[in-house]
Amino acid sequence: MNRKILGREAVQEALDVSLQRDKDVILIGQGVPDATQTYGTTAGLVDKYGTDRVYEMPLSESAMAGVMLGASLVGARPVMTFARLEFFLLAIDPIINQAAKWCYMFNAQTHVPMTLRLIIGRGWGQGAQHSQSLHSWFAHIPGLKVVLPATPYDLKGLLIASIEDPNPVIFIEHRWLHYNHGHVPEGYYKTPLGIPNLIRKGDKATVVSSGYMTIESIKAVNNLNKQGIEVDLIDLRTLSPLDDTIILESVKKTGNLVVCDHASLTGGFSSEIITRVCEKSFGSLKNSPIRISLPDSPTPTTRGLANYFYPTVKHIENAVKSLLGIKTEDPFKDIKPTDKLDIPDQSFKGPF
Amino acid sequence: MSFMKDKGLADLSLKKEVNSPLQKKMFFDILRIRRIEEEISRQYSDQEMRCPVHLSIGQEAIGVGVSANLKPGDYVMSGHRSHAHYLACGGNLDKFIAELYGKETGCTNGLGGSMHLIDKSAGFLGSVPIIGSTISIATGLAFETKRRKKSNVTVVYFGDSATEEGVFYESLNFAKSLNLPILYVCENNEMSVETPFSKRRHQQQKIVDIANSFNIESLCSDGQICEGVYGNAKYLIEGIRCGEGPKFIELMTTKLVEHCGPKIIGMESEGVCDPLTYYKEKLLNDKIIIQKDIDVYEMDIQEEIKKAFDKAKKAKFPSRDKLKANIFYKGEK
Repeated sequence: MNRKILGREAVQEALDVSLQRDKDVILIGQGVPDATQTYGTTAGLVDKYGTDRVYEMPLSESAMAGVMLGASLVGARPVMTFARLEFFLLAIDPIINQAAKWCYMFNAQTHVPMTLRLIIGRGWGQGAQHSQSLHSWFAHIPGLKVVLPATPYDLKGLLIASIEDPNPVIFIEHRWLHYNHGHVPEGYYKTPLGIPNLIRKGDKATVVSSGYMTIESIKAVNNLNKQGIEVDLIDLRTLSPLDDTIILESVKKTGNLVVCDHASLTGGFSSEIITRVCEKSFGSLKNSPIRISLPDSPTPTTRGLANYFYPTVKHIENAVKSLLGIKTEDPFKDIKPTDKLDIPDQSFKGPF
Repeated sequence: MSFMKDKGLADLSLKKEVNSPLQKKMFFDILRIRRIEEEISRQYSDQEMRCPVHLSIGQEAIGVGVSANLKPGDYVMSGHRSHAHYLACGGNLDKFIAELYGKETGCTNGLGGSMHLIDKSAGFLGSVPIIGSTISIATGLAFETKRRKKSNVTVVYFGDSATEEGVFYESLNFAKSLNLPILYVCENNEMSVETPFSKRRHQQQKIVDIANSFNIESLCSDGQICEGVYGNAKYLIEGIRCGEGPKFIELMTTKLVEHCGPKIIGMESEGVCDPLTYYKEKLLNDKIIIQKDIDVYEMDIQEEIKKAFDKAKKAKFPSRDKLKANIFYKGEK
């Protein structure tokens, strides 16, 4: 029963299960039913469920997000896909001004059960406009749920839970997660929104992470374990809602906190985590917390620079070590501009 | 104003379409909305209705003429100037007035105010003040209606300035591409806040031509002549009910109030057609109605309005636990 599949297959299964279980679920997005099948995540679904469940759409992100909001008010449960998060920015009004507030401002007489899959690109020259991680922005908006799956198990479980949730959910899917293998049960199950996942246990430090950064954190923690350093690794799973109990308990135990966030530093969600710990459990910190994030810079296209843009497993390892008073070197020391670090694995041949 | 020339067109379409009970109903609906809006205007300076109001005075004939064609199960959405639309399709008056006072008996328990009206039992599924936003949302209502193979029609009202938003074009394109059952109603009062139409579009551009260019059947007529609005909307809505897809109507109108606030600009300006005065004179001349009927109805309306205001003033504010009660929907999926 320990079936392992790819992340993109886990997403496809979540959509398949949701379409099968609830006839109100519809999929829509540019390329969702076409030959590329949104990187395989919608493979076979239009054939199985038909064109009045799985829709192509005109390239009108703003209106289409509003249309799906409207459809959701009278019975539909839309799952809208944006092949890159940046295209979603054209739909900010219907989601931020309208969907997020609809339930509140109409006093729960109507509500908006819709899921927005936003895919973040990385590598192969995605550049400044195909790679942004803006989850902290979205988590700042009351009325939106913000979900950042990491493992294939959660890609499926959290997506099913997002689709079943009666509120607007921003489901942020890092493109490289599609290439990750992991244990995924067959059929229906869901991962509840709002409960972080304690992935590894240890007492030396607490590493809090989310989304793709959790994949890097797992590698870092495994490396640390080999060196005899045991740490708690907590995957947030969702930024909003967020039950921070497990984080506070962990920091009480370890006294050391590293927060990893696949987003630019300033105003990022790592600051929110550290603030909560400071506000609620300041006395348990033995050292100043450390943030691992992307720099406050747009993403460079050339790998010659992108190689120094994304923090590595080494960064996370080093952060933990430095909290424990262990000397470390520059984590980029061994990286050369010519290194081909811009693909998730060897199966990736570009272009998107 | 140039749109007065269209009066003939509007009158033309009504001959066989209206009968005296309908004429009386539409006239009384306009009169009722006018008196309600006037009362809001009168009491606004007490500073107890503490939300922005965009009064419908001068534009009432549109909501009334369109709504006379609606059936139970049809949907309506609107923008910031939505009082007439809400009331004309049957929105509850007590809940409306209480909403302006921010009371728990309001149509959103006071959480929305004048710019966020809703009455699901009347099919009025919401108004919002972000210009153009409900154009796409209402298109979504029509999308889901069609997907479920239901026969109801969606009407969405918006002003001329909304046609300057990209979402207008995107929505018309999508509605046409799937032949959705929706009537787009553009109330052209030639003002965007205080910016006249002439400063926002080239003088040779007409809004109705934009809709036509999407191959959407579109009409432009006088929005001050209620029977004309009714007749043209009837023609278009019947087509939508027959499966002909989206339709569009531009109705030339005049707001007789300031953009936002209680000030009534007046009916006596040169060239202005007040839809209430026009209809009253017409129905008196045609002997459809007599002054005594109007006097009786005026008294009834005044009583209804007074009760609504009294109830609203006496009602409580929402309890403090409402502050964060409905950020997320907690009901079953």
